[in-house]
This record gives sequence, structure tokens and C-alpha cells, in this order.
Amino acid sequence: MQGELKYENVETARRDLENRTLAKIEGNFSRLVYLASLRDYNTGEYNHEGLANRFTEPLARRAIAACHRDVFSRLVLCSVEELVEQLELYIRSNGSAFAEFARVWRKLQPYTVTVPMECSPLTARFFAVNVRTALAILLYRQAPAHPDPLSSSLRP
Amino acid sequence: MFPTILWLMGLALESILLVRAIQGNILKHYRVFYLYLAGILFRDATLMPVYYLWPNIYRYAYWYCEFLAVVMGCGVVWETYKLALARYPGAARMAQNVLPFLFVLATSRIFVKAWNSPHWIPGKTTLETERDLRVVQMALLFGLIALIHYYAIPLGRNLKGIIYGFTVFVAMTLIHLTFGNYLGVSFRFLWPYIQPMAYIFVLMTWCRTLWSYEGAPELEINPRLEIDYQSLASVTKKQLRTAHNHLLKTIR
Amino acid sequence: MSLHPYFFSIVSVALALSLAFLWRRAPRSFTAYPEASDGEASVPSGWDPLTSELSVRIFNREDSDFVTRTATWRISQSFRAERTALALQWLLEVRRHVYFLMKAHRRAARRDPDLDPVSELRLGIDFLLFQITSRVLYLVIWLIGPLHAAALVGYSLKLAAALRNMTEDLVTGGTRVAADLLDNESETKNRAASV
Repeated sequence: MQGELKYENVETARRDLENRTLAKIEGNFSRLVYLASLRDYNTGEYNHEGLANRFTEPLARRAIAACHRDVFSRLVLCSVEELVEQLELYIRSNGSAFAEFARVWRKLQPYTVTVPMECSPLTARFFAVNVRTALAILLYRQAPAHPDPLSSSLRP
Repeated sequence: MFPTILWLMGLALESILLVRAIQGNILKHYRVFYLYLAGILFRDATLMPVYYLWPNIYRYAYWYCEFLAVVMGCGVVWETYKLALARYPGAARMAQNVLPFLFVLATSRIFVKAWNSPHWIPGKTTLETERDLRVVQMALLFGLIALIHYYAIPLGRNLKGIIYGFTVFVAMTLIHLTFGNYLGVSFRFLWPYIQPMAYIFVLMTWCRTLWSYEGAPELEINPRLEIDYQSLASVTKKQLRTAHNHLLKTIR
Repeated sequence: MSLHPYFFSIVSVALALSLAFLWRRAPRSFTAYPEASDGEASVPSGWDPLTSELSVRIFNREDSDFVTRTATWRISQSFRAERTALALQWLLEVRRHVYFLMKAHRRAARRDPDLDPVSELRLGIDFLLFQITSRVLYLVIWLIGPLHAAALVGYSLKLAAALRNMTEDLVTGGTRVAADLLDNESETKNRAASV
């Protein structure tokens, strides 16, 4: 039904997404990557067939956008220590080798496209700096007992 | 010889300005300014033969004419205020309050000097009198420029040129009257060249900016702004204080 | 030598600079803003709440201490440099917001016949104070970083408060002492008069 985007309906759709999908994803970082992946890079619109079938497409988009903002806010406002834990959790849940993951992430910096559309440049930059730092810290931890100090840096 | 050439150039440029004003129908828009310019042209044309034929009386003739020019110059300042702020009653209201303050500030110096100096005689110290009147003009121009800048009042090319040229002219005159009084002979050797050249520059600026009529641009009025001033000021003040407090609280 | 020529020269230079303002353009960093236009502008709405909360994190020691504890010197150095840049960017954002706030106010007020000069002057002074504060803070953050700037500002504000309290105590104490002295004097006079 093409109706008005009432607040209650968006909230209902949002809760549905959180309970059915996001609750099954471990860690905020994983949730952020998942929500960002629902976004079309050309139009900036979110697509989720299941949610769109249960509600309407505009409702689904609004609900996903709200969840995305919410998850992003939690990550951007958490401490670097918490972000390191979240990133570590994400890497483990991914199943990829850490060295390869770190190499790709340092080169491509895919975390920069996980930010919501309405995010300010300052917030996006702050998030990127934190993630780069968290990644560098994880790399340092993974390094052998006496690592070369010059090999660990925030630069890609 | 060179000062004479500059004098003649000045006469020519003043004439061009007046002819262009009549041809281009600009005269009616800036009446006081063109009246001032006509007065200056008449003065310069009259004083030139006096300078060469009756040098003994030239000094007196010059100072009397100069005094009249200063008074007319105040009229130009008044006209620029009126034209620049015609469509901005808020800014004009600020001017109504700031102008008297500036005027009193500038003229108080004259009265203080007159009060303190037993030898102060208006006729005998004409240079100082003119300088003091020019200071008043400068203060008023400064106030106008500050208001225009603060409220981002858009000016057309004509008015910008008049204000810019007149301000440069007043500034150069003030420098002349000030340094001439204190530095003496060495300054007076150079200044017969510098001041006329500066005046030529002002006239050329006016020729460029007053060649055709260009009034101030019209701005669209945003209907969202139909709120009273008190509400506007209150909102702005609150947001400014919030920003200031936010700045300090965040850093603390 | 008299100071009058220098005074007039300063005034002339100031006027020349003011003239330059007549023709100057808006600062480059402040040109792009959603609500601003060449015509009339409305007063901008409030802050982005995330930016406000973020600013607290930027000046917080927690992250810097953690990075220093758990990473190499190079990583923590790089992190501190990035945080300084973020702090400066945040400060510029705040100044940009205030700049457009005042710009919108002035553009709205200039046409209002009910403009109150006193309110305008007060607002102008508040704006000037904000400009001075933010510029000083910018310099301090640029020189010593956001963490040390926060400590310095915090210390300065505490010192100012302590000085104010001390002054109030002195004034109160001084007033009390003066009152006591006056009382003693009048008592002495009364005794003398009665004798």
C-alpha cells in the first residue's frame, strides 16, 4: 500500500530489520559493513527485497537509513579501544587471513564508503582516522615479538 | 611645468566627467556629487589665472575656495549615506545612531584644541581648520564603509567609485595637511607632485566608474524573513552564546 | 617628535584596508554552505548533534592514552597529528557556522526598520569576542595539540575563577576592614564628643 511514511511504520520496519537481520550479525562493525552494502553506489538508495516486500520500498529505505545512521553513530562515538575489539571481531567473523585483510584495507580503505550519506566530512574523517589507527594497532599486535618499528604506521 | 600639466589634466577630466554626466543622464542620480564636482572645476579654472597673474592673493583665494570645497564635500558624504542605505532601513537606523557619535568624536578635537589654546584663531590657522574638517569627513566615511562592509550592502559601480575616489582624495588631503605641517620644507618639495597625481588618479577612477549609470543591484526579498527584529536578534544571540559555550565546554 | 603624523598615517592605512574590504570576497573556506545565498538568507538552524558529541571525543585523553599504551611511537605520533588536524577542522566548522549565522542575521537585520542599535552593538561585541576566543584557541591547538590545549584552557579557566574568588574575598575583606575602621573612627569621635 502506498501510504504516508508515518513514523510508526518506519519504526516498525526498523525494528523488523534489527530483530530479523542485524541481531544475527555479530558486532557493530559487521552490521555497518552489511548496511552499507545494501546501498546502491550510483543512486545512494538502499535496497532490501525482503524488507521491501514486508513493508513498502520507501519505508524499507528509510528504515535501513535509520539503522545505518544508528550503527554508525555508535561506532564513531566509541573509543579506539572498543573499535579495535569491533574490528577484530569483524575480521574473525570474515574468516579471511589477517595479513591479507590488513593489506587490502590499507590499500583500498573500504571503510570510507561505509559512512552514511548525510555524514559530515569531519565525522567521516574522524571515523577513518580511528579505523586506520585500530587497524595499525591490530597489525602491531599480530607482528612478531620484536617488530621493526618503522613497519607499523598509519599510512597505507 | 609638470604641476601645470597636472592642473590642466585635472580640469580636462573634471570637464569630461560633467559632460558625461549630462550625456549619460547620470546627473539626476548623484546631484550633490556633480554639484561638488562643478564647484571644484569652477574653482580650479578660476584659481589658475590667479596663480599666474596675481600670486600675492593666490594663497587667500585658495584657502577660501578650499573651505567651501570642504563644506560641499560633507554634502557628498551625506549623499553617499543616503543613496547607499536607501533600501536598507535597518542599516540606516544604525547609521543614524553611529554617525552623531562619530561626528561628536571627530569635532570634539577641534573644540578641545580651541578651549586649550589661547592662540587659536580660526582665520589664522586655516590649514589646521581644514585638516580638522577633513578628519570629520574621514570619520564619517570610515563609518559608512564599516556599515557597508558589516551589513554587506551591495553598491553599484557608480556609488562604489564615488566612495572609493572620495575616500582616497580625503586621505591624501589629510596626509598632505598633516605631514606638511610637521615635516616642513622637505615634504613641501615633493608634495606638489604627489597630491595632484593622486587627484588625477581619483578623477580617472571616477571617469571609469561613472561613465554610465549603474545603480545598486536589486535583491530578492525572502518571504521566510518576515519575523520581527527582536525575535531575530534573540535567536541569533542565543545561537552565538551556544556556540561560544560549546567551544569552551568541549575543550574543557 | 610629535605623534600626530603617525596617528593620521595609521588612520589612513586603516581606511585603505577598509576600502579593500569593500571589494573583498568571502573567505574561501566559508563559501559553500547550504543555506547561504547572495540574496537574503534565513538564520541557520542548530548544530549537527553528532558533530557536537564528536568534539568531546577529539579533546578527550582516553583514545590518545590507549594508543600510546598499545602501539608504537610512530603510530601514536601519527594519531596525535591526525587528532590535531581534526580538532582544527572542528574549530573551523564552528567558526563557519557562526560566520554564516551572523551573515544571515546581518542580511535580515539590514532591512528591518525596527533594528535596535544597542542590541546590534552587543551582538557585534559578542561576535568579536567569539572571533578572538576561537582564533586564540586555533593557535593554541595548532601549537600544542588538542589535549594540551584542553589542559591549558581548563587550567586558565580554573585560574581565572580562583583569581576572581580571591578578588571578591579581597574586596569583601577590604570592605569589612574599611567598615571596621569607620566604626572605630566614629566610636572614637563619639567618645571624644561625650567627653
